[in-house]
Amino acid sequence: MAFIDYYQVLGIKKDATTEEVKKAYRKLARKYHPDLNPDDQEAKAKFQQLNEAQEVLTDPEKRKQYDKYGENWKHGEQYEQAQRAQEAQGQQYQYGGGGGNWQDYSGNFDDGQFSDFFESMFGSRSGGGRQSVFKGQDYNAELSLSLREAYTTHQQSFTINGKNVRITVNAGIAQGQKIKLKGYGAPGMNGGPAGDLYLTFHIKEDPLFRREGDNLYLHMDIDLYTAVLGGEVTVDTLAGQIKLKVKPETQNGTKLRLKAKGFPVYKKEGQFGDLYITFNVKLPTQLSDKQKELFAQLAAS
Amino acid sequence: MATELITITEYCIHHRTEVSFIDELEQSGLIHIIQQDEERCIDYDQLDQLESYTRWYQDLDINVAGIETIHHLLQKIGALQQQVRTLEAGLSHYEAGA
Repeated sequence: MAFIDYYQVLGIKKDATTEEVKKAYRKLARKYHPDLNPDDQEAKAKFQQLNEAQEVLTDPEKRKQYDKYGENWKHGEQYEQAQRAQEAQGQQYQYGGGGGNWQDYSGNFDDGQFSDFFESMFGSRSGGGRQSVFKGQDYNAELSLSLREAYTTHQQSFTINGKNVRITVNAGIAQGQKIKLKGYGAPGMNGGPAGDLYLTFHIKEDPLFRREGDNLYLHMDIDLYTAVLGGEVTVDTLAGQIKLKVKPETQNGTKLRLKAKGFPVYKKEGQFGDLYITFNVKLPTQLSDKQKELFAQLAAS
Repeated sequence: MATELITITEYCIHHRTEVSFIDELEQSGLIHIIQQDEERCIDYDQLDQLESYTRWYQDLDINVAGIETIHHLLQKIGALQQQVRTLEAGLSHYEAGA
């Protein structure tokens, strides 16, 4: 746990007045405020430090203590006391446990803890002005699905903060799509409503199908004879097997479009994108002498 | 689900903010106020936004004109981020195939 130079964080001199501290804080907060830097973890961390610096340097008691011990803060009388308090409440948040697919829950910026340095010196955070005073905090979570799972409307259940949540994931959900689960965030304060849970979906790559929007792309091998003479092949689509006619003299790289055999359109029941199939003609290998002879005849014909 | 409402008076008390600030936000179209009986209220769904605006106003000293500008810019950033995600997803297909 390292010493944090709060004066440096705010870019001010040691003798700065409270007004100057506030001014410096506001100036930097405008730059790093998480509301203004969506999805920027670096800005969030920086903002946390600014808040800490502001809380210490605008509170005469805390500032006095900070200035007195400075880098020798471990000699501070509160250090040991805080150390014990921290151990007592050292339990971690436990999320999830249900689905198995759930990853990395993290609250939004204002539920963040102050640094270990701050907590050791001043004890637990006393609650600065940053916290929501009414609506509970929102949570963010990520859910990983395979392409095939995202293809069908299905149920997912999990536990968050002791609450059982059962949601329906509609077919056709997109990579990076966010949905809001109202009321599944932290409880509200002063009679306010609970926060919300924002779920971001992560759709894993499929080894066979490539998805672009609602369309699917598939590369399919066909043998030389079917390509030359024509015939029928069976395609495994996400909707099941389809028999497909191959025209005689089909060239390598030929693209076919199968209408409405692609990905379901999100929340538009019965609507599907298209499936594009690219034929990859496989040339025969390990030919017998007889076969080679036949090819030679072909070449000479 | 019935709409849940919170009165402007209650909001202002909890957030130690002035009604005139809320009025200004409404005039600029950033929030929508609903009249219920004698009370002016906002929908819970707007609370997130309103709390953000209040933070910018109180903590960052940004006036309503500034809030309006930021609101538009954030919408643009959101759309751009979405576009980047789509492009990245598209690109990863090609990288995987390379």
